[in-house]
Amino acid sequence: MWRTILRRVLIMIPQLILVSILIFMLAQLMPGDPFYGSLNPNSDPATIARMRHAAGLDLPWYQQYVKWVGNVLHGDLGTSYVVNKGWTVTRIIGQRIWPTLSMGIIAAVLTYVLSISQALLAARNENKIIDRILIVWNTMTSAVPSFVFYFVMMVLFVYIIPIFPSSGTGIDDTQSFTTNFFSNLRYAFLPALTIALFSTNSIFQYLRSNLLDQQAQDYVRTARAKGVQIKDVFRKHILRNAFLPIASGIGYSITGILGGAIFAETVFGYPGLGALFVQALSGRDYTVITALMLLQGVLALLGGLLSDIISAWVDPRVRVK
Amino acid sequence: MSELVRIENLKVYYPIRTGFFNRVTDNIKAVDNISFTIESGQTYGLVGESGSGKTTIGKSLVGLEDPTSGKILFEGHEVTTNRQKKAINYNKDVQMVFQDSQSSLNPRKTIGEIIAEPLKNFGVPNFIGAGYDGERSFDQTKINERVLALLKIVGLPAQTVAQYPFQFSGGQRQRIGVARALATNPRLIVADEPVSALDLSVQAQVLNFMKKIQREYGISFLFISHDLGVVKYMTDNIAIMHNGRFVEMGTTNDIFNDAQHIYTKRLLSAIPSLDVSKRDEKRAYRKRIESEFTQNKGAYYQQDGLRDRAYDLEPITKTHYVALKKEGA
Amino acid sequence: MDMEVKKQRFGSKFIKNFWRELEKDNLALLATILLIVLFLFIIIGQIFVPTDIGTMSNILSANLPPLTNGHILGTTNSGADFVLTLIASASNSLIIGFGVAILITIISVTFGMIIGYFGGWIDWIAMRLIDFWLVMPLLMILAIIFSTAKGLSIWSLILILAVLSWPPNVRLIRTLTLSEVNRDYVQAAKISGTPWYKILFTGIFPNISSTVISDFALTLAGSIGIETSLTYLGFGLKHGTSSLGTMLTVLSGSSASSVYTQWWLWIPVTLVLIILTFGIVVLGQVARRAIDQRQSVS
Repeated sequence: MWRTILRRVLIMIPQLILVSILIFMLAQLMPGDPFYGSLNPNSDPATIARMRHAAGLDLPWYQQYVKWVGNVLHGDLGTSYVVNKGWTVTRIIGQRIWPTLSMGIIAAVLTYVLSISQALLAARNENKIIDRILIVWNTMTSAVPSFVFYFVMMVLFVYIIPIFPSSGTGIDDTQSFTTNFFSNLRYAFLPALTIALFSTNSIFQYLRSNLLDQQAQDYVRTARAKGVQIKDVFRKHILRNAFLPIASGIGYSITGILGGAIFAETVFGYPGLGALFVQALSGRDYTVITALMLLQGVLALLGGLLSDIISAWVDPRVRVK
Repeated sequence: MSELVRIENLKVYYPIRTGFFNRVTDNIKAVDNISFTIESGQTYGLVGESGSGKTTIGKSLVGLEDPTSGKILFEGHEVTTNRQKKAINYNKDVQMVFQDSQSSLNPRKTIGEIIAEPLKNFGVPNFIGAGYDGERSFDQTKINERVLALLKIVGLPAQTVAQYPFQFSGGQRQRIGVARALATNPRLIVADEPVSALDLSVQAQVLNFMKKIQREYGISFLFISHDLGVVKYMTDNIAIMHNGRFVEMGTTNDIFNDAQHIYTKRLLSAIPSLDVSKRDEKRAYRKRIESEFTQNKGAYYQQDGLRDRAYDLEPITKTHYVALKKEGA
Repeated sequence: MDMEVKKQRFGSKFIKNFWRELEKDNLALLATILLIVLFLFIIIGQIFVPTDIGTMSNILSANLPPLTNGHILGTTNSGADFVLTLIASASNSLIIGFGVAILITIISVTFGMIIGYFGGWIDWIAMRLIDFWLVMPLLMILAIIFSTAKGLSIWSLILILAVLSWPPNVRLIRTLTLSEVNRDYVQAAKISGTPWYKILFTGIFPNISSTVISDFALTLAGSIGIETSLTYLGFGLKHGTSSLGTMLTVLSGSSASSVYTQWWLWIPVTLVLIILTFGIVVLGQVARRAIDQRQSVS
């Protein structure tokens, strides 16, 4: 098993390089350059040329790429020109990463909790009313674009029944870490719950059909014939078999955090990385956008790696070896 | 009696990849140096357990597997690779009946379309009979006529043409498969366990149709099976396979009345018989064969890694060959 | 057997099966009826929509509440009638959805089947490429492309969306094809002398067509969703072309009170969106069940 994991990690290195090259080239295609924000209409062309030369913008692209990679590895992601003028991108991202992460992790956990409980409920009551309602609910939430539901949720729980705060993250540089942590939870919970409520379909559908298949299998009939109670059969055998593939999906939830955050944070007024992306894009802040894309690419690769590791670990065939 | 197909030193190996870089470390020797000849109009049985390589030989003959090395000759022309086979429209002369009648008929096509498929590609021969080399027509009416004629030969009513595979039983579907194999007047039909998936009573029916066709049209048959009883009924010549190699080959008479190789004897002793009175006798005989097998293995097999590898075939009589350790080797 | 006769029989059998499936499932029936009503509304309504509806600017009658001056749902902030704008938007969103779904389906079926059938190194390379594609942040890239183009025309949007989102579908088709390729009827077709393209498209494809149809429906609903979502964020169609997304941009940055008082601005649009996407997905499922119904004899 370690061999597979090692091979997997090694494969990730060229993938990382390729992703970074692609993102870099995409960034080059965007109009505007780092001096877009700081240029004064009255600057003379010579100064502009000098500044560009100093920043290495007239070097051939592969040299720029190497420079950029070097910078990134040293933690230098450039400077923002629009979002928070003058701040380094690293600082901006650093400020906003915690809210997005906390929301994302809570959302991921809640998604699993909700999908699994729905699937269990549906499978145990196949074709009864509760099963049909759950199926319709999941079909609907997966067919309709989620931001619609996000908006409805926000209106409901922030304005109509004001339980949750309407905007902000609850994080304040003057407070201590623990205070921030708990205050943030108040702000993060509603968005996280909303995301989770409307992304249950894939796990639900898969798990439900898997559970139903298992229930009909011969070994279950055998166990029941031997006198084992159905709920014990459930616990010991069915769950284990049905959950193996779900476990490997955990890695992919990491990948989805940032993407889901883009809409949720915008609707709920929760300034994390997602909202940052929208802001930066509207303002053409290209350094921030590039950095975020790179972050997402890295997360995606890590997520895939995690999934592969978990499935390798959980696969009984591999374990026996 | 002319030579129809000759197989020389056929090897089909599948590489095994292990290690960090997925290097090829070893091979699965599905077919390990097989040579034999098929004469026109004759019937042959290929017997062995699962994994013995018999299906692989059948598939290589028909063009569904690529040999790793060796030669296949059809009436003197070399047809080892698929390109060579295509060049002489090989499959109009060599066809196959598959084991699983459920999956060998396209569920979305009507029976008429299924049987007509080879006719559309190779043309309709002007009359039915193996070894027909004359005119072939691609005319749609001729194709339809031929399809109806074929259905009649296998005993199915004309309205079958518009129906779908799911509407038929296993035995009927297998007969449809035979009709399809027969469509282009093949000289050789390879039947891969055609009745293994059927109920016993239905087996007899399908087998009888195949026998009738074989006699009437002079087609050579290669009958692949794990069931010696079926093979005895259907074929004149038998070859026994074990671990990718032949252990014994001869006429049906040779094999059943004068079995030489211990593996053959073991297979024969395992055939259940209906004679209850001889039950104890047979059981004792089986046990004796088993012990003989384990004791005398060295005389019949050499070791290849963890596998038993039979020796080359040596002739005992003009028709009978056995895999024995060569004297003085 | 005549191909023409077969096509007719397949068509009528499909419709028969389709109705049967619809009757069985009450919810699907409801969704389908709503969808058909909506479709008719949109199609017939096209007649009444003035061609300058997206670009007209009639400040005097902007943002009127419902039932003033004959405007059933009031007017938009550029003075156009709300209902007519809704009709135009819905049809635009549908055109985009269909365009993208058709393109994606054709591309992914062709590639997926070829990859699944031939396997080998083609398969290996294709899978590496697809895996790689999935790592890239598609949503972000789409947003970036849309934003830099200063607002796109419908056809550019369709193209870009299609080109960027087809790889995941190839995976599905490839898996389906793989499970069929090993079945004996494919082997039998090979030794019947049938050329590979006929085996693929007239032999294997009919067996996977049910899933392809329901996947088409999902892609259709999905692309309507993506376009709407991105336009809502501000990156998408150029000013003057309305889609359901542009009508919903009013939601971004609204205060609580306007959400209540001006409910007509977003509730009808949301309802239309829900009926469209949900109805399409459900129809796709029904269609798939109808095609799979081979146990019934006509």
